[in-house]
Amino acid sequence: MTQSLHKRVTIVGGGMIKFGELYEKSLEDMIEEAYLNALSRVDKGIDPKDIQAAWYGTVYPEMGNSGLGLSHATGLFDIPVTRIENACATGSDTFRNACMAVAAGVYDVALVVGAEKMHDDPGGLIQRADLKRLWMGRGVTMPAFFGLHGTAYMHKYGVTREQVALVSVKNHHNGSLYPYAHLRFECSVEDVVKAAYVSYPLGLYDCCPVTDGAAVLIITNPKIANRYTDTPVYVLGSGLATDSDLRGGDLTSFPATQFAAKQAFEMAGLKSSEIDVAEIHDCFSITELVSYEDLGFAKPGHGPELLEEGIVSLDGKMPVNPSGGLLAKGHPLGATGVAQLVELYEQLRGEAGAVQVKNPEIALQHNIGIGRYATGSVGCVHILGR
Amino acid sequence: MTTPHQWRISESNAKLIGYRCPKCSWVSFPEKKRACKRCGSAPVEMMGFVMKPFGKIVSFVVQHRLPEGFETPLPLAIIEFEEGARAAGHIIDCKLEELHVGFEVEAEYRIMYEENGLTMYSYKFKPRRSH
Ligand SMILES: [Zn+2]
Repeated sequence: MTQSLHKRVTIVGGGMIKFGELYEKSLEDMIEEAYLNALSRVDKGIDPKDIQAAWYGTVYPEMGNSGLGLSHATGLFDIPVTRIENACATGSDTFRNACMAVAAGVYDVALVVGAEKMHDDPGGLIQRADLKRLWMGRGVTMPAFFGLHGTAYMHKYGVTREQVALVSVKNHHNGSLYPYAHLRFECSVEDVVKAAYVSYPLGLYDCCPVTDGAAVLIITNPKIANRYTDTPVYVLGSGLATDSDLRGGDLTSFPATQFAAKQAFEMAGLKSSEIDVAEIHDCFSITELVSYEDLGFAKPGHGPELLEEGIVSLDGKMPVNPSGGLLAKGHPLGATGVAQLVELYEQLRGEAGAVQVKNPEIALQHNIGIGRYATGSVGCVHILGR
Repeated sequence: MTTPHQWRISESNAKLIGYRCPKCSWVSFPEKKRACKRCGSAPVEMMGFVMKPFGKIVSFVVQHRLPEGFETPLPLAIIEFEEGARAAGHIIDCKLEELHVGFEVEAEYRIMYEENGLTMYSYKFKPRRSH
């Protein structure tokens, strides 16, 4: 008999650091700061000794790829620490794994840490352009993986670069208001379409920046959540799936997202029309646009209408990426999913300040990963509620 | 000296051999598999066959930012061979304006890169001029 995660886990605390090019901070410094922020923001306080197990999401190699990095940064030793890696969806899968342990009743209080130190790697992700993979993408970079979907999507539905650019314009506007965002400036459609190409059809402002960051969540069994807060946030649904471009399909969608969303919505007993606010993976502008359709917010080919009609704007019916998304907030791989969840935790509790959405009750979080050695993706979706 | 990786891919680099799943007809390329990536059947006995060097572009990008060792702008595409197999590859001998989804291409054996003093050859794709 399988058991659902539905309402079996509560979030009682969340914290992150301001994302950016944090040359002065080590990975350990960033985790420590996010951890202390999360502890200090638990309404009724928390003793670190209450934490019974921890999950650590990070992608870049460090500490022999173990959980020890989390212990060093937080002083949490002598308890289980598990390190998770699942490409750019690492943070979300870290949360998911911690939730399963709490839902199973193995632990009452668990810590979720996502962090990435991207600016210590002088070569950057571009050096991982799969130089020796002849048939599976020699020279394919991250912008190219998503640009391939962009070309196919724009071709099939007659969508223009100007329409795709509306994602960047919206998210940079939101990011200019969000205190933790890496990039805090506004840009116009013209800025986006006239910027230098990185990987046609994607230009510079269609791409997220390279960012350092860390984010932390504290989760509990709902039965003891009131020790820490009177307003916890519930996990209503969770899903994860993988897919590969080599399996078929016309590259105008991300099937991994569709399957992850189906799992999460079924678990939550909700429909996409019931979502009040969403953090959607926008590593590139086109990713957010295609994801509207994969998540059921628009029919195939109709994603641009959500932008043109203002539905996904900060003051719209279903704001998407009030935090500025990955395009403005930044995308420190392991931290990204956790930071999305921290932001939605604040949104649902009415604590999101300048980017607060009006009275949201149900929130959706979506995170995509691209496997380094596989032409495909990992999709992860969570649904949260008050 | 040949590295283990070079040795392992030497045959699949040089020949266009696909392996068809008997359960769903999906074509694995360039590796022979005993578990199907498309339908998940396992074990399956995939039969190898020589593919024709023809296919079409499913989608493409033009790379403007790449590490040293690449010339840019570089068109890259996901190709679907006539037999159904998929591969990613470089597009050559083609004007950028000519590129489009559905564009017919032909695989041609070319130098890919140098490694440990060895020249690595494999297929690139050029516009299909003849039928
Ligand atoms: Zn099959």
